[in-house]
Amino acid sequence: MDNDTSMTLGDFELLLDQYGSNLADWPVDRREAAEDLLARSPDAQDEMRRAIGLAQLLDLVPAPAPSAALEARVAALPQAETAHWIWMVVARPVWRPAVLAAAMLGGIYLGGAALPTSTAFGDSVFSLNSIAGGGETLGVIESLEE
Amino acid sequence: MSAGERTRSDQVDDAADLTDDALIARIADGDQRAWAEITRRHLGALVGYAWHMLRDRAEAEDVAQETMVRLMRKAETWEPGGAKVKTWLFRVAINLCIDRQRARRTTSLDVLAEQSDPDTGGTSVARDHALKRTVGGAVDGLPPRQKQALTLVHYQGFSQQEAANVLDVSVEAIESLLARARRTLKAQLKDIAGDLLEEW
Repeated sequence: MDNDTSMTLGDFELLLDQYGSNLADWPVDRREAAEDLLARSPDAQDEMRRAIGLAQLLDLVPAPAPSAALEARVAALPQAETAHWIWMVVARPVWRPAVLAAAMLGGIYLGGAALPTSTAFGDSVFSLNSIAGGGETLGVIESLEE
Repeated sequence: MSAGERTRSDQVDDAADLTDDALIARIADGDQRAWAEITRRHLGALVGYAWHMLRDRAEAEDVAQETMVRLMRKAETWEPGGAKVKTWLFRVAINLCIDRQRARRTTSLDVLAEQSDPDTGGTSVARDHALKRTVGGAVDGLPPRQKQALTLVHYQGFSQQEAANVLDVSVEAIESLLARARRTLKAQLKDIAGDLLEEW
């Protein structure tokens, strides 16, 4: 600790500006010399008072804490990100034709499933089962023409 | 109590005991408690830093949220033992703040009073507002790197070494930035605040 007794007022002012008024934040090997200077120098004490005053002034402008809404949004990020990645994969151009085709097939399937199995046309009955091609299809058509 | 009988609070405590690197590894595996813990550790500081740089709460929260989004996306490729999570987060936040500052080019000091008592009729309250505006204006008038260094060290409690890592400069450069910032502020606040600083 060769600097313990060699601190000048200039050194002290510089360290105050670099490290602030809390000596605990100063380099360990400069603290003892600073305390020694403070004990015997009114000028050093004035500088310390100014540094403490500056720190107190800065503390008059505290930042707000995170809002509850932000905390909720950030807490929900894992779920939101999962949805995001699913969308990113699905939305890739290379997948778009496949997605479109799947959507169309799904629509056709759901549309078909939603239709009744038979539909009445007047006195005639049109059987969907016959669309696949059965002998009775022609008979149904004939009955419609009558 | 066996491992299988551990309570939910025990598991939360476990997360609190983990390093940031370990939490990131768990986040990559979808651990919600790890995400909650890393959020608890860093979200407030990110909002605080961004608010001091932008003086706008909504923008500060946007920056903090975007920073956390980027951390989550980074989790899978995070390399433990490299940059500290805290350092990485603040580098991202600093860049996001710079982007926003460039986009608007102005800073409103009016928001400095927003946290005060809304009743501005009293003398002490008016004086409090005036002090906040004066101090905030002086800090906002610092060159950007000085303001970044001061915000990290004074408001966020970073050590000189941590601030140097975040700003990617030497410790000596941080010391210089802080010394110039404090000298400027002492001079400006002594002149501007006048009788408000009579205790000086």
